[in-house]
Amino acid sequence: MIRIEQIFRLTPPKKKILVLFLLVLPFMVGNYWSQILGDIGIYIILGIGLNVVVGFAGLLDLGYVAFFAIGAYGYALLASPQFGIHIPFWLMLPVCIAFGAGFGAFLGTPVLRMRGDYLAIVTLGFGQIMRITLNNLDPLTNGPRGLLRIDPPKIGDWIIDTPIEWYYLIMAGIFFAIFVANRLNDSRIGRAWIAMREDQDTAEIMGINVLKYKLMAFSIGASFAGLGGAIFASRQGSIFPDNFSLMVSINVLCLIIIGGLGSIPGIILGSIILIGLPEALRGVQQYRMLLFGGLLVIMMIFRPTGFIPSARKKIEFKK
Amino acid sequence: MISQKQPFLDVQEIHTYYGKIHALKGISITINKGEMVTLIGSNGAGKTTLLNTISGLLKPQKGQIKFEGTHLEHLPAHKIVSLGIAQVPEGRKIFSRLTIMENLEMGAFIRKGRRAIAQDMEQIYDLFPRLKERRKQVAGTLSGGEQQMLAIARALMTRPKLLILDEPSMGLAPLLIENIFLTIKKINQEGATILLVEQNALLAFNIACRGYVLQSGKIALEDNCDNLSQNKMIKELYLGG
Repeated sequence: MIRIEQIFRLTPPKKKILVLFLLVLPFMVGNYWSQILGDIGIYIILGIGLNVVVGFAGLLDLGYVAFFAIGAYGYALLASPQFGIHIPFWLMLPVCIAFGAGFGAFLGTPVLRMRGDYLAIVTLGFGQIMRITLNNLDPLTNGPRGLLRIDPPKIGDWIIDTPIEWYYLIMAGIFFAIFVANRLNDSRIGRAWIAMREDQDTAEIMGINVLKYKLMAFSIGASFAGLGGAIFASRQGSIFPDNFSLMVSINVLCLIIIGGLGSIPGIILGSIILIGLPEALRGVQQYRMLLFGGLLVIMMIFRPTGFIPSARKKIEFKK
Repeated sequence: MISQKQPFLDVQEIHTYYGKIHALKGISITINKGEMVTLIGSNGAGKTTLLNTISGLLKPQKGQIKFEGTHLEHLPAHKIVSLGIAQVPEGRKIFSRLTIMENLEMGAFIRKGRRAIAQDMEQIYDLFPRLKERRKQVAGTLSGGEQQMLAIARALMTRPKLLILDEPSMGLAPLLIENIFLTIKKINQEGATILLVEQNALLAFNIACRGYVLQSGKIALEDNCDNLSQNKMIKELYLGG
């Protein structure tokens, strides 16, 4: 059997080569592909965030797009001519992360008492409510006309606006997200999540405050979406409620599952397949849903743990 | 020897419901420090319900539970653990996909101080040498007896003052049961107070000092174990004539 995970298990010299490769990649592929790599990158950030919720803590969240929207609208409202407020991008990044986390906690508090399927349905509903609200809250969001001329990031007088510049910024965001996710997974919080995933009641009698750790997962996951949203809004320059449809949630969930629940290399590969592939084969875009469906079915049959499952998930799946 | 002040664990007149089913109908039990108390009863008598009410997984509708003077009835389960009550749940409920070491680490979740935890782990390995041999093995691959040992070991990692065991003999071969009961006795002799729930009354009376008999949600009898094992009704119902 081909061991895809071996490609990602890198020794230090290989790591250097990979970093070098990632640095020169946009110049090798040019503007158009750098743009697509940026799209993929934003989904990687979202995937890493949702993976905290679904993969680490075992909570099925189908409304993840809501937090992405919070980040994007949060940035757009405070850095565009809409209200004439122009807070710099770099200042807004932590603010949008906090928006995401805050909304995650706000939504999570009533919802996380539910288990399994119920949680999935309520979060699904919340994702829809968010889009509809953005559509109808005209005085604030401009409704379907969207928010336009959103500020790009600036470093001094240098404006980040070309696809290649964005590629580097998004790459930095991904490395930050990976760093945070890895640290979380190895921490005490990560252990509490594992116990919860295994058995809630038993986790509780080990002294783990299950509700608190669920809320943390939900809120931390949402903060990644806040970051992704701010980057997305600033990069697009204009955002509309339709950017935040159910499909975004589904796509992010799909790329995690295809890649291998719980594994970061898996998320990267999943994003490349799910976001990059349809872009690469423009003619196929109409059949994208068909491809997703087919791919998921094939995956479930031949590689039910995803392309690059995490070491722990591999054990979990065997039982 | 037994202190005359307040009991270690004091359960007063508790009523617990499972939905609409009135599972515990005013139960009172007390446990003194250092004792091993057993609770016997047939299936559905309410044994596990009582344990889960004490450990906080279920909330009583009425009545009070005091542990070293602290009221437990409104505390969430995870807080009760840190007061020093550990439960070995029915059917063991080990984390079957984690290794033995990781299971023990989960037991120490509420504790700080790596060195003390590492020391306790060594002590536990002395108590259960089988677990030490297999510490890197995934817990789901252990035999039933080993899993029971692990469940007890994991509870001990919380450094409990009161250890609650829910049917540790369930589904085990007689030889293993004897082994586990000897260990429980040893844990009690080393200072932990124990509440032992059993269907196997004979075994329980052998190692415990006092016993309660639970029948359809009420305490039917309370006595020391010697008297209980001589009791005519108990002989008929639980000791097979």
